[in-house]
Amino acid sequence: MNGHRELLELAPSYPLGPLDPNDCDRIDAHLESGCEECEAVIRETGAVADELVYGVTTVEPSAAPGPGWLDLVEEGSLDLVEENGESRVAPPPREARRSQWRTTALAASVVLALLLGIRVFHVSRSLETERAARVRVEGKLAAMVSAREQAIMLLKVEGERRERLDRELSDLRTLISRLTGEQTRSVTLAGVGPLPTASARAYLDPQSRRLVLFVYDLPPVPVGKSYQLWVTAGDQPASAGVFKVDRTGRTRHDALAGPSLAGDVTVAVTIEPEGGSPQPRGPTVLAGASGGATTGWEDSGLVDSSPRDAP
Amino acid sequence: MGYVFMSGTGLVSCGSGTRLESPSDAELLRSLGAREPAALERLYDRHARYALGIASRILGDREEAEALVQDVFGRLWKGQVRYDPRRGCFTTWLFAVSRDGALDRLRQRARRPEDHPIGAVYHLPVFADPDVAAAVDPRRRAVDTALAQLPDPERRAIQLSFYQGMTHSEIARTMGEPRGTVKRRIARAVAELRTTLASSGVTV
Repeated sequence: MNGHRELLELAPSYPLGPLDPNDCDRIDAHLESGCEECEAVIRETGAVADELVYGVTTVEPSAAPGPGWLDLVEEGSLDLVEENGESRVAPPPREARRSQWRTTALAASVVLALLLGIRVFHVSRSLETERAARVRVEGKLAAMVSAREQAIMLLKVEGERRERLDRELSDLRTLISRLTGEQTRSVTLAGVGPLPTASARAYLDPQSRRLVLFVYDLPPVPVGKSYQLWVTAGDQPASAGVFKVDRTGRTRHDALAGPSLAGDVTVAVTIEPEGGSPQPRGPTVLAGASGGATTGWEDSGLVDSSPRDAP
Repeated sequence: MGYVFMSGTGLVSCGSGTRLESPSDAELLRSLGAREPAALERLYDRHARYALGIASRILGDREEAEALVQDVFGRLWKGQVRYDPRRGCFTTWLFAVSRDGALDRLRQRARRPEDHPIGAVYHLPVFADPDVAAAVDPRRRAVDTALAQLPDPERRAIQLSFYQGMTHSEIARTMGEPRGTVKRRIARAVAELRTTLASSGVTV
């Protein structure tokens, strides 16, 4: 039991891994001497080592060595002995050769599969690239279509705006021609009754029988009512249409006068039911006359007539 | 390292897993001593996967590992190597012999052995996903858990000794510690592994 303590410390390593040569020889000799304590330690450690084997990832063998392989071993066709101190690995047995053939075939299959996989990868990547490019082009096309539609919409809006402006320009030119016509006259209308601050000016074109009325400071007409313009060139006033004013009490009203506007004319505005009346029934709020001829409103003393003023 | 073939001595005390299969490893080893080829085939089927696992991991070549393990079985058949049940079950013996054989092959393969320290084999590729293996093998999971609970130096000593086949001197150089410290670390690690594995239901 010489060195027992030291060998007892060494014993747990005995079943685990290779010991240094000197240690291995010493412990082998110690065990041969029959040391039960060390043998018990080694047996216990051996049980731990038995479990540690399961800590390795297993690899399933491709084939078990068969009887044919053992024949080769027995015949010495397989060199399994150590030569020159080196361990020579046995050539694979027949079964293993078959396994090698299978391995070769498998390797070829793997290479083929790998090549196919690479090809598939490249094709897939090309498809992916083309798909991405297509998506980008489709996106650009969609943006262009959208831009085109917006441009069309803008053109339409601009076209409508231009038409409106053209109409307004035409109207203004017509208005200007009427206001600046050689025979055009103006009649100033003054506020009557409860609206003394209201005023208006009417421009009369005898040639076209058209009339343009500019109204100022006339309050909005009550709901269900309308302002109605009347032109009197003889005994009976003729309606020249109804109108409303804006929030500032202003408006421009173009109308075709019924009677001739060549002679003396009286112009007046009354409040009538909405849509107008065949004859003036409501209160007069504006009135004026040209040439001193007033009919229907001359007694009010509010009719004013003055020569044409240039607008 | 001299192994002594002691089949039939009754010293085999493996008592779990495949070791309970019939015929037992001890019976197969007796049949092997009687030159029954079927016994060799049964032992190969039963135990080769662990030897192949460590040899493949060390060599990084499955075919070479398979040839090496078959070589070990051929030597066993011819009586050129002998199983020593004092060092554990047949699986453990086969594991150790295959591990050491693979390390020899690795050293022979190297042009200059000093350029290929044994520590490098720990990083060689494996042939199966360890997470998957752990998921399907409760014994693997128990071992991984027990190893994980060891202090780092003790776990490192066990890994270098058992899975990388280093001697105490090599471990001492690798870890930068005296040999005596290495021996004590391994002894402590074995004691703790026994306790942990027993608490997880593994009979050790």
